[in-house]
Amino acid sequence: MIEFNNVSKIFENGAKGLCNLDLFIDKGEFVFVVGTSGSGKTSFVRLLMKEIEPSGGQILVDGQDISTIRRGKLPYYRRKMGVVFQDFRLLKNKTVFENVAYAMQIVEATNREIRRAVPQVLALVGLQKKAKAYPSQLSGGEQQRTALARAIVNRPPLLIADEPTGNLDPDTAWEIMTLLEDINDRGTTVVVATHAHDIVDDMQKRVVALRNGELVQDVGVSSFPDLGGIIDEA
Amino acid sequence: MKPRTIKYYITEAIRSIIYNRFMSIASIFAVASSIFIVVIFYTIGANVEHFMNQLESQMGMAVRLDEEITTSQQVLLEQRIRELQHVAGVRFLPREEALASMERTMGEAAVRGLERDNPLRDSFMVELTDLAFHDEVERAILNMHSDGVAEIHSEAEFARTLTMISNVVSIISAILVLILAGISVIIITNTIRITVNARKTEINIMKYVGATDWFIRWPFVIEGMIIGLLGGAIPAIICWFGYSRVIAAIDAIPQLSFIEFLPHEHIMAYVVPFSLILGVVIGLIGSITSVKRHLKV
Repeated sequence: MIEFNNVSKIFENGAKGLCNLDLFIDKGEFVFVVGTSGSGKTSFVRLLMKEIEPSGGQILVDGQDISTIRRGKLPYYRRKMGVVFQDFRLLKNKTVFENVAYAMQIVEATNREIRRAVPQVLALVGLQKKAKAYPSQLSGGEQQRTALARAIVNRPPLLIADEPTGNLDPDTAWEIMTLLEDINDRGTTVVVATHAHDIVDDMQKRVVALRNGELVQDVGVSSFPDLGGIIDEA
Repeated sequence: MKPRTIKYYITEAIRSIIYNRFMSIASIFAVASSIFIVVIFYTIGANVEHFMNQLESQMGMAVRLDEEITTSQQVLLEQRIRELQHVAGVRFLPREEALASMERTMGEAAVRGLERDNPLRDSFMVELTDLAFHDEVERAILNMHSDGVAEIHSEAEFARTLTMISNVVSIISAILVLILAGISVIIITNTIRITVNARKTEINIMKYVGATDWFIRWPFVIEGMIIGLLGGAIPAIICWFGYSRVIAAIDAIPQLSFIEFLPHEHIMAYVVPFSLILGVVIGLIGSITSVKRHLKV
């Protein structure tokens, strides 16, 4: 599904984003990418979204070298993935329903399809009663659930979450993680960049730890050690 | 593009104008005020040119006829002058009428005693299509000396000055309209740019969700065009209702009542489409250039 082959990213100011990263994430996996600030988590997500280009190496998604995707085709590549950000990034002038429907409108779904799919996905994230609310009328957790609903409404094979619980209290953070796990159970590959080690410890999923842009540990589910230590160290 | 997508773009554009109503109103008034200034200058320029043209048409030359000219010669001469290029009209002025006119202008004392022995000659009053051709026409008529032309009386120097003033006014008003239109485009593009900059996060989100550039751009483009159209409609409406009143007010001033203005429908035939089209074009350019900066995500 996702393959990073010797990928490096050095920014114009000389800062290192990633250093010779080799990584393979299989279809249907749930992977945490962990590390402290500046470890390269966000660079990893931005490279995967093709928001920035690597300085070296090759990134394959579904077998396709994403460096070959032309700018005009980029939106179609991004439609294969749902993305959730720490700051939710909802359209503030649209209601919850409209924010979710927006992702379907850009793929020119019919109104009938939108009216059918959006309530279903809102029910999945527990927001069916908030469909007419605007983002400013929602709590942080509700906004993140709206962003999650928008990310999955088109049933993308890949879901990327960049610090999805960063702005949430522990209980709400758990609700979001549980939802991500449910989505993964339905077959979607989920990649979560986070530094919330307590959640990572408890969820017992594959953990890729980065430090200064380098892969310092890749811990599979079968050999689950003391993850809190890895994240703190990373 | 599917009809429901077009409907979606238009709905989004209208919603966005309403949602960002304060910026929308600011943009509309920026467009309106800039176009209004252009329209005012155009209206003044067009009327000054019209006034000059009128003055020009009233200026001409008096062709004095030989004392011995016969009626048939006179008819033939009138015909020949009429056929000259740049001659708009020829009117016969009998010597008696010329004297009466002199009496009206200079007073009865000046012409006393001349009724019995009128020293004035019969004349043709020649009107030109354009005073710029005065000298050319004058030379052509002087060549008709043997056909009964005695002399030509004209105010050539005044005619040349008038032509020069008319040309200068035309050039200045054209330059001013161009400069003002350019300044308007810059002001309005910046206003729309501020509106779009305020929404760059929104554009970024759309890009991350997988919207194509044109899917993002169309609502902004339509929004810009609507704002431009509304901004262009305001000066058009003000001009539509204000022009006749301003003319009536100037006509009421006795010292200025001799000025004949361009008719309402003539001015509106230019001002209304010009304002609306300029507004739409400015809105279009402003929105396309402003959105472009934020699409490279």
